Amino acid sequence: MKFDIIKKWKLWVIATLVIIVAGLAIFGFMGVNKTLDNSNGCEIQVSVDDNLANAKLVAKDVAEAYFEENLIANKIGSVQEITEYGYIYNFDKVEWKDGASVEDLISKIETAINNDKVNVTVEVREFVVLANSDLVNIIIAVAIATVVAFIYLLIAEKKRAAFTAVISAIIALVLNVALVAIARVPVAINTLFTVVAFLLAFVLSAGMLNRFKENQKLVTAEKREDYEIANLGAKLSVMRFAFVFFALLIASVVIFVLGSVSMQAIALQLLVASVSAVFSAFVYTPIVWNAIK
Amino acid sequence: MKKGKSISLLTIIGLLIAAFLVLTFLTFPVGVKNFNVLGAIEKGHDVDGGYAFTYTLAKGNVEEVEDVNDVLETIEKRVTALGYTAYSIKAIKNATLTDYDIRLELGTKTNKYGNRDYDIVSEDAKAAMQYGELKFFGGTEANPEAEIFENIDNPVKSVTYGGYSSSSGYYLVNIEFASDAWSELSTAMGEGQYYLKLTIGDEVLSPFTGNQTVSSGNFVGKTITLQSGSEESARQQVLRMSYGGLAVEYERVSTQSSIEVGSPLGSGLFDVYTVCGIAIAAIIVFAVVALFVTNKGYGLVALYLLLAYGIIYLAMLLAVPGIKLSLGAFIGIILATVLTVDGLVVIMKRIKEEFENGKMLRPAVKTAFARSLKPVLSTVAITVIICALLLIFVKSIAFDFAVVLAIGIIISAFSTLLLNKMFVGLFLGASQNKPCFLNLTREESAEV
Repeated sequence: MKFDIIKKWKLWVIATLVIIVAGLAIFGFMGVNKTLDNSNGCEIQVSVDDNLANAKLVAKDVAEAYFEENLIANKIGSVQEITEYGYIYNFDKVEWKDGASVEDLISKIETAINNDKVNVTVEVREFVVLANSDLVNIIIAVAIATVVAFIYLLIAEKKRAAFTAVISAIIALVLNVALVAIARVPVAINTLFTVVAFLLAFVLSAGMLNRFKENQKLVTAEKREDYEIANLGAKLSVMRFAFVFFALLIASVVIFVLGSVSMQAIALQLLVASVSAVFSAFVYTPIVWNAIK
Repeated sequence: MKKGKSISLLTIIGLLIAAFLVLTFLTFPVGVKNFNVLGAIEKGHDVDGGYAFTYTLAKGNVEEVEDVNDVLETIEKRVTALGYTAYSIKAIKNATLTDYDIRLELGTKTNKYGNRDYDIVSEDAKAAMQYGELKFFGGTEANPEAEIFENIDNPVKSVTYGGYSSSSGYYLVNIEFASDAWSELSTAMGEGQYYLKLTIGDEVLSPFTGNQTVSSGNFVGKTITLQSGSEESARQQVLRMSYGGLAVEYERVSTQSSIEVGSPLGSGLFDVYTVCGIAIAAIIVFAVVALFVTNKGYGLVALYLLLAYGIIYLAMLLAVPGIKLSLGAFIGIILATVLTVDGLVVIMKRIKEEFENGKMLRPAVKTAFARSLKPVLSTVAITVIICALLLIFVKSIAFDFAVVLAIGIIISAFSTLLLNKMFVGLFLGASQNKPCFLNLTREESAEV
């Protein structure tokens, strides 16, 4: 089967538009799915005043088993250790099943510790965190960076390449937002991964465009059309894109498997950013470059 | 280069890399301290935790808190002005409280001896939560009580951190007075000595305690420069004089004045540091194995290169002051490592193409590196542009991401273009320039 990515450009464009429209609609109606680091919620602090008889770890084990059995919560955050001597657990809400209560939990922990000298405290608090206050600054930074990078490519690679790279990067950025909204990926670190998708797509696209330029300069018996140059350039870049994608996939899998709940959200965001960047750069660089004469 | 010489050099380089790697994970005595490379890099609150300070509304507080988000936003501006990029600011309330308490979590800082310093963080928290209006008092006698600049809204035009002065050995704070304030002050100072006192709430701000004099000789234009013994106290002064105090008065909760907390992203065996470290190692292993499978000997080149790249990167993270390993920084390291792998793949692909087009092995390698210069430099340029803009506009962990990625991509370019060329040359020398070492084939004979 002949490699021809540009032939099915309509399919790619329609698929991308469907994802973007659906994603932005979900984003508009439901907003982002924030992790507890980024949204208001409740916390339960379980602490002991002394670590006799390994009281801290005993309290942790009993509390976690109790939460799993008796707590009604939709979202569970990571566990933060208090060095002396306890843990803070984050939830979206704290609602106990029938018969369960803070006093019951304290009693169970004290029974498990079995040491009169250790006092157990369990405190339930609601918390309010700031909304993402750096979002506007990141948008301004990315907007200006786009202009400056465009000017750089205009000088280094000419107009066609500059427009292609910018368009590919912007598609990656929008696609990342849409995919995060559709997949309801918990958003952890502000808009950092959208910047990652944008940057990666820009860099990968610029690399592929350099290859198109080289192929154009080649003097061969058979003069190639732009269509063939773009397809050939994309074909020759497959290995490069595969390496980048699989490297980021492996990093995401490692972080997801080994990390805490919050780190799993980071891993998912990294994976979505990789998919957005690699797809946009690989598919849209030859399509847009071929379309611009 | 002859085979024997190449093998000798590669062995020496390999042993050096192995030695540096072992040293990275060891703790060894340096003078009176124990030094560990990984431990020496400062970590952000989200990676290593820090101290949590709880504040409650003071009994004497007059202003009502209409929206706690406004308070959180103000505190965040003050915390980022102190140089923190990773922190946690929460308003918390249990069932017994009517108003929110504020819990401020700041990452630990190290003092000049490399030890965690609670006092620095405590003073930073105090500066961030300071209540009261900035007031100026002046007179011809010590401890003046006559308020000056009463009719001037903003007597201080700007307060900036002036960095470290190697000539004086102090950290500098530059205070520029507004024109109208300077006019009043210079008239009051006249030709003699003038006592100046600054207060925020009940606190008197050093060095303007009212017991030392200032004169027009202390000013350059409308600017006076203060000297501070440490960077942290200099930044705290900048914060206090720039922002004044909070409009709402909070006091530290004495029963929970401060607690040491772990990373909010999880701690224990697989903390953020370990997980991200394993992820980066997994990328390196993947690249080496994949390149070995596709290009045989180039996998060995990649192994040497990526390890050398890692050591240089680590050295730069240690050497560049102010680097903080937050989660954003780790994402930057991951991305820089992936772009290095990308560079390796680009070059190997070009070597293959040049060889298949009929060039001999060594000229093919030379041409491939020459052709790869532009795409690698494009990658660096675009990345540095985006990082530079983030550094200018952003103060959160995206700042750490930008700094670390910018450093990483420059080291990546150096490694990909120069170190890679060196290692390819050495390995080809060791394999007696056999194209099969890099899994290169073409229709005609490929012998050199």
